[in-house]
Amino acid sequence: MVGQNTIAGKKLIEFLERIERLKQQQKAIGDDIKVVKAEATAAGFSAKGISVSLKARAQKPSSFREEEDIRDVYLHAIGIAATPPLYKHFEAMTGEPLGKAELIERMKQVVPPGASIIVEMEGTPIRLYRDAKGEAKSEEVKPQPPSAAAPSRAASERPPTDPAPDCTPAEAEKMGQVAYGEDKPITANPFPFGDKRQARWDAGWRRESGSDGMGED
Amino acid sequence: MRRSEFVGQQKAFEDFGDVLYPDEAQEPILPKAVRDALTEWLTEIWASDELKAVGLKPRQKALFTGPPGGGKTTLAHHLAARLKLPLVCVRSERLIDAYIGSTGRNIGSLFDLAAASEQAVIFIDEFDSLGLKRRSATQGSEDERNGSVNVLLQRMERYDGFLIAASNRGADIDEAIWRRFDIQINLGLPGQPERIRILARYLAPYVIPPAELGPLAASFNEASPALMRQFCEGLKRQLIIGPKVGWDMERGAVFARLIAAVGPHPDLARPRLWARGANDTAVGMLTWPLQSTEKRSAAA
Repeated sequence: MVGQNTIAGKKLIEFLERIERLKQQQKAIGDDIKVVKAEATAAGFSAKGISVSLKARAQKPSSFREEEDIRDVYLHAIGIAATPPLYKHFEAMTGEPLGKAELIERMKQVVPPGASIIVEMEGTPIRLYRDAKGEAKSEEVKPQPPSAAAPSRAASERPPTDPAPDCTPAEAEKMGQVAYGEDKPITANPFPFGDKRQARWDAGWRRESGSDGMGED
Repeated sequence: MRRSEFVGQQKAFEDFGDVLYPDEAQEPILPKAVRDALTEWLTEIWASDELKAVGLKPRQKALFTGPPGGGKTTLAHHLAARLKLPLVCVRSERLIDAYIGSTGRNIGSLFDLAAASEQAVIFIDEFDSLGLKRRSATQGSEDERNGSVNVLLQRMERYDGFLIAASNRGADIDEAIWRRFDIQINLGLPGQPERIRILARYLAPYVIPPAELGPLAASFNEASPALMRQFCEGLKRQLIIGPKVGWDMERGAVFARLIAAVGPHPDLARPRLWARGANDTAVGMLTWPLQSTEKRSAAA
């Protein structure tokens, strides 16, 4: 019943009716979906397979793949899947255990263009890659000296600093004075930390400039 | 230390943040009192042998506080460069972790690494995120935070090396941690002489004569160095790009666009230039268009 002397009741009924209409439509659409699914089942498709595929299509490809990979790894971990996912793939290609050379040949087939795979076999890392013609090749990875293997960005960009000049503390002070005259910054001090001459060079620079190295007054 | 010797450890330090080298350092622009305090600190470090003879050690830990964009990082880098030491800028997000005890462990491994390495200056920016005041815990997360502050306290106490921390929320730092710093410097907003030098530096190679630069600097009252730098860079960008895209290059129009594009944080005071806009007298006084020169000394 709608209360007297009020418009709020009418307004509310309008909203309720709109929601009810939409719910009816929702139900009708739900029924339609059921019909389409029944049609697909009648045509011989698996109902379960269809719902899994729908879910997969609604997901982002990356999150779907991640879910799949996690599932494979978990199934292997709890013993439902007998072999690790990667091995399973190569076993399927051959059906029997392979020697090192044969395994490399098989693995070459899965190298994507423009990328490489490094596999460790019997303690040696082997790089599988495709050359300019797209042909799969393999090579042993040579161990590199640590400095060359991981050159740090900052280190590779700059040449190493020059060794500290061989001079007396008094000469270092003089060098600082000269450096100021040559418009060098106070941070261009050539002496490393802990070297007594570092302070003398800095003092020379400051005396010549008449400042503390942090700008003039 | 030589760069080549440091490269091996640099990799490990990079887990905690960026490493800055002496040759990238800039000259800080600071008031005289602060510069004197810093010069005293440097002199003390250089005189460490003499101090050792009388049983003293140079001070090693400094805390810089002050508003954001006030040049705290620039200053730490400059000090490290004067000593020819690399500056390891620790990023607090690399230390703070979601799991119980992990933050404390990360702090521990940073100090272990610093102690095992050759000399470097450790710089922890946004220090308040680590050294926040301890509170009586009502939640597990607060317990954890109090725990990491305790770890920080102990490790700082025992650390024998240079450590500089910076924060723009000095009042939020735990009292016991504050006391562990030998030097506490507040880098306030720049005064008039500093503002003149900041404008001159960032406007280079454009040069404004001193008679016009003074009033312009005065119109930046209460502005942080970072804001002034943004403004100057924006101005130079407009002078280059504007004519190419056919903007109105009259001074009023250029300044109005700049004032609209960069501005101070709403909580900070508004400099006069922002309050009055392009009608500010300092803008009217400028020789327009700006004169450019390659001569570096003219900018000073």
